Amino acid sequence: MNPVERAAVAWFVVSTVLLVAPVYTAIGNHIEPRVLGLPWSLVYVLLAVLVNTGVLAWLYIGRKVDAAEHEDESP
Amino acid sequence: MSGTLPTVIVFGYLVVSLVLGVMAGRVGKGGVNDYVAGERAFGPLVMYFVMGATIFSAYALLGTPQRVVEKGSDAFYIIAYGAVGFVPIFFFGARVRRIGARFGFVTQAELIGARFESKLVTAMMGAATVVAFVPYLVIQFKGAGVVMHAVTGWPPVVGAAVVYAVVVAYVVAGGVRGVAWTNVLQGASMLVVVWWLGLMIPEKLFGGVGPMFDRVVAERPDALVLPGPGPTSPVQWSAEVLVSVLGFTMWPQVFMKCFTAKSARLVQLSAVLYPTFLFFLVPLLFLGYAALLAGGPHDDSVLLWIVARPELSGPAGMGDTTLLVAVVAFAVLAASMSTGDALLHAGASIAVRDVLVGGLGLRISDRTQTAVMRTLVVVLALFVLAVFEAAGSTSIVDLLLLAYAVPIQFLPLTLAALYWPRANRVGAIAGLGLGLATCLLLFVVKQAAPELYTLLNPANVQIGVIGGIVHTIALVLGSLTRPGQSPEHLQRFAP
Repeated sequence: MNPVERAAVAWFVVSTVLLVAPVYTAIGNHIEPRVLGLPWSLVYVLLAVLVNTGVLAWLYIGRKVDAAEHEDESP
Repeated sequence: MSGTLPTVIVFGYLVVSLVLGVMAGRVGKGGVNDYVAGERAFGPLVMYFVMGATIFSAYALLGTPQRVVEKGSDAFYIIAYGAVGFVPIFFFGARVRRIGARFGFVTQAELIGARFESKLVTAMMGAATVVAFVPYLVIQFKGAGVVMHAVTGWPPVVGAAVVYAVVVAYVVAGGVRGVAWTNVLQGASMLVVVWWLGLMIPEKLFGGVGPMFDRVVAERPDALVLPGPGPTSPVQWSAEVLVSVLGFTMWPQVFMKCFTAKSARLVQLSAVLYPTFLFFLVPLLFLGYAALLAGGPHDDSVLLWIVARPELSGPAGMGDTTLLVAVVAFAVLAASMSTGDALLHAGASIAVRDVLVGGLGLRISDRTQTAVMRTLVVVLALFVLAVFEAAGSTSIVDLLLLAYAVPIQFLPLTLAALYWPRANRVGAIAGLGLGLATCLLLFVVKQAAPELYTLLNPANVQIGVIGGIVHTIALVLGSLTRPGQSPEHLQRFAP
């Protein structure tokens, strides 16, 4: 595993921690501030989805994780 | 609630699905590689919908608004675990696709069993998967039955039988290509319908999503934060999220789709794009809050209830709610079928490849294997229909407890197979065997002797997690105390 892969795995572990107690209950489980009318408790989990999608897109476009092409084509 | 328009829309949709699924299956060369893995030729559009629509079931459509009404913001856990749940596919999916193409694997258990040189591992995984699929399939049949009852007035079991006769026909004729191309139709339909309803109904009833949440804040603030009306404790919330994350990518019907992609990179792209499907849950949450404010029922009829509100008819609404009911029926059927077809196809494929061929070592030709798979699709559907008719909803929920425990048992084994060269055959057999046995034992004790179960598991930890811990310990001990597999063998499984 290269350093970028290790960092990526570490980030996704951290993002999981951010979504469970006690972190979620401390900083995510609130009605305010509301964003576009939505409660913060919902916005918080949607932000987690957006950030993780951004990280995955960066890893994919930058070919940071297991991007070898050999044997890629259909047999 | 029945009427001509919903009936026309629902049956029109069934006919289109049938034709599309059967036609899609006429492309390939036939044989197992074609029937199960689509000759590893799926492009980005199909992969996107196959991954997304397979995961989002009738339970997501009917159950998400219901969960909001019943438990408030506890329903957000589905999005929370989805934020991380699909990430493992990004990391291991490309490697799985490459190894699958190298050896000709079409199922998860084939890959794992070959890595550990164990037919027993393949057979145990295959048998456990088929067992886990049954209650999951019953839920899909139930979703179809509920909708068909609402549209036609038929008993749910009859409605489910009609819908799944169509599904069986295109899975038998079209194999994974039939599943995939109908999933494109079903997935696209779900996304469009659910977003339209989720934005339109709050607009008509409350003046928009923002004003709707203004009212929820004023009238039911408890439904926006934990513990909520459930109530859901922080520990329960965390357990729901973590257990779902652990099992999410290990469901075999999802995992084996890695083998169908045209390239390894495409598997990763599917993982990147998956959250766009996850956002489809957001409008379902909106519909749940709309129903909560409107005093909707607490059962799974809530989605059909909210679209039939008289306030939605007339000039301000759609003129009549019949169209809305028809559209919801269409979406629920799409969700039910897009998951049910994948489960029937995967269940039959796994029973043949993992249990009969891989596990019991039956030497049957490629052509015969495909014929047996087709037969088993029909047998499995009939069996599930019988269970659906015989079992009450409580027993299905109980069975789901066991079903969700199974994919968690595959996680340590899959990770060890792909990333831990020291993991060996003894560890794999001991880990999987003891993990599955622990789950089964706890399940039986919970049903037969609830007091003893409370003594054994006072914190009520999900039985899959307990099994997973037992599994991991046995896997590690077995692997460290017995010789590893030969370097030559391991080299064949290198990324």
